[in-house]
Amino acid sequence: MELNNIISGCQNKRPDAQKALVRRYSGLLFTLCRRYCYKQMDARDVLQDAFMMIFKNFHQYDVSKGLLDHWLKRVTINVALQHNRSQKIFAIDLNEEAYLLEGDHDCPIDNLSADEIIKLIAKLPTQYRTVFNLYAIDGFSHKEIAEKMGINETSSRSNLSRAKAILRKNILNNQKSDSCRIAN
Amino acid sequence: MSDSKLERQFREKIDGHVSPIDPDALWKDIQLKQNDGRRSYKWIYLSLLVGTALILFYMLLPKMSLLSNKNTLKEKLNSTEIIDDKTNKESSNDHLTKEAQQNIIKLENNLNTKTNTITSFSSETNLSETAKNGIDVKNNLHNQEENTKLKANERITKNNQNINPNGLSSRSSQDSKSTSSKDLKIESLKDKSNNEILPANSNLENKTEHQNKKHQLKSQFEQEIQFFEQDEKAETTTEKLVTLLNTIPLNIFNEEFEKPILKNIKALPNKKMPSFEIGASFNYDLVSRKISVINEDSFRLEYAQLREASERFIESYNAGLFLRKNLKAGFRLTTGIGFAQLTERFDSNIVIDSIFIPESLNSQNGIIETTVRSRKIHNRYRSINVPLTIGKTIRKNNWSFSLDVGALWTMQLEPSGSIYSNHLGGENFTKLGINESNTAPQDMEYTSWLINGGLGYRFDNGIYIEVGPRIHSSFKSKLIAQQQLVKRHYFGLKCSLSKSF
Repeated sequence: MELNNIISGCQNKRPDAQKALVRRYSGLLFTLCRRYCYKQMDARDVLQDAFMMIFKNFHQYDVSKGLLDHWLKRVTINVALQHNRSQKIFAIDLNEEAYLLEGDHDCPIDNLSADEIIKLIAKLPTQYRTVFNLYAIDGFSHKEIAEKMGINETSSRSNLSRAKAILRKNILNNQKSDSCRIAN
Repeated sequence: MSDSKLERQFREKIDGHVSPIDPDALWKDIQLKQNDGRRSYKWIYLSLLVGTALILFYMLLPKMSLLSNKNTLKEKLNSTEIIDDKTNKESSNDHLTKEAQQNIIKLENNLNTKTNTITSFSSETNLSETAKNGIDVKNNLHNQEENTKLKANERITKNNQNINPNGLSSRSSQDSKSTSSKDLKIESLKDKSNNEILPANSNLENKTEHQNKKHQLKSQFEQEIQFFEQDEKAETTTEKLVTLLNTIPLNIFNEEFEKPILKNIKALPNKKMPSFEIGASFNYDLVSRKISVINEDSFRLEYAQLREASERFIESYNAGLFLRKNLKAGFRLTTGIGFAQLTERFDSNIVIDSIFIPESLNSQNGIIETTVRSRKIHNRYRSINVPLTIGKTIRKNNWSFSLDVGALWTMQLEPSGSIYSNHLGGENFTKLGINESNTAPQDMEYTSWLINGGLGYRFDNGIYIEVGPRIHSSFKSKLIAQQQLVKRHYFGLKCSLSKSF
């Protein structure tokens, strides 16, 4: 089905168009959900809720204001943030200091696949993960992040730097374990 | 590596990446959830409609039933026809007018008969003295009769004035003297009939006033009886009393019968099954459940298996109100509304972290240490239940055994859950947070089949206690979060207390 037909069909709440939209964008949006959720099954639930939200509010989508992909991503991000807010499980015991590295370390990620990177991001504590995704991947400013998450900009910057430090540490650990496996 | 470079690398790697997912399964789940939402609204409206109908049924039918029983008993105990107030008044007014006319005719006939008797007696004797005496006797009798009637009229007028203080019957004693005794009697009876109409009209406005007037009418009737007993020693006394009795509206006597009849209704032995019962019930259930998953990936299967292995018994409480209609041949129809809470407890040992621990600081060799933390999860599901069952009761004296089958509609309210973890080490579990991802969605609704058994005892005051087992289970498995399908079977004990009316 052509994209135009999908859009007009979804605006008229036609099931065949909605199914076509799911087929076309579920993989892309699932990647996004996986970045925002700690568990993969939560990511699937978020994706399901996101599609329901998309179908419900499809009349709000204006073709002249941007690409459909961007609108879908925006809606999905909002649903994921809402999910994380409702989850309230931030008390996962992570000894942050153990993960933080001193100084500027070289951290090549060329050897890592996209799937591995997504898993690394997903392992971050919820707040760090959210800030990192919003800023580094999805291109939101600190001001926008602060508004979305109900925190101040300083916290957003701090969370971002901590997220990066943890990621570096995890990437290095990952590489070490890989080389360990090769050596054995 | 600078921060911006790291970010750019991440972005480039992830951008446009498509994660594998089964879009058909996803579409199926979306449709399922959409339909659930639509159906729940439909059920809410339907249950509201049924609830309103039941309330109306409950409020109106007992009154109609009671009225019917009362009328039947009255018909049996009293040959007098009992009809509602308005009809009664109207008919008694018609009746009274006719009776009043008949009385007047009878009184006239009496007077004429007596006069004729005396006249004929005097004419037959042909004796002047006798005739003279006869005329005197006639006149005396006539005068005596007229005096009697005048006194009666005075008393009736006086009573009428008492009955109707607004002066509807405002004839003075002078007027009564100037009017013939017959006319007076006619007038007094007419006034009386008019006055008797008044309570019927005023009954609608003031019941107390109506009662007072009825008492006055009764006392008037008694006074008249005494009067005629004292002043009328003729053989016509009984006839006049009967005539007077006929002039009094029947509803005065019906009032007399009313209280004993009501007493009789209460005193009747309660051998029949009461028509309606309203009561409260409490159920305690132990729940057996089976978990399955939709997409059988290893993680979900593992999670489901862990739950199956670790979950201790689940318990559920249910409290509610019910309304029961007892039908013919021992059948009964029961519905109501209840609130249920189900608590499930299980362990969830999740791999939290895997850390590489090198043998020495510069060594490439080492081990990967996996940290597994025990977690205990408590979920609470609250729901509103509406049962609808049909049952059969076998009675022996006050004891009864019953069996009901039917459906139980359930609507899930907001669930809640808590996660307890021993992440601080040892056996101490501390609350980590709210477990929302493991609980079923709000507003989920489903229908179950239901079987109740019961052994009951009915007290003479209408209180009925029933205790018995109950089983219910949903027709289909329910989809909860994390793609888990749960099918629960409830085995429990039901206690109920009801009052018949």
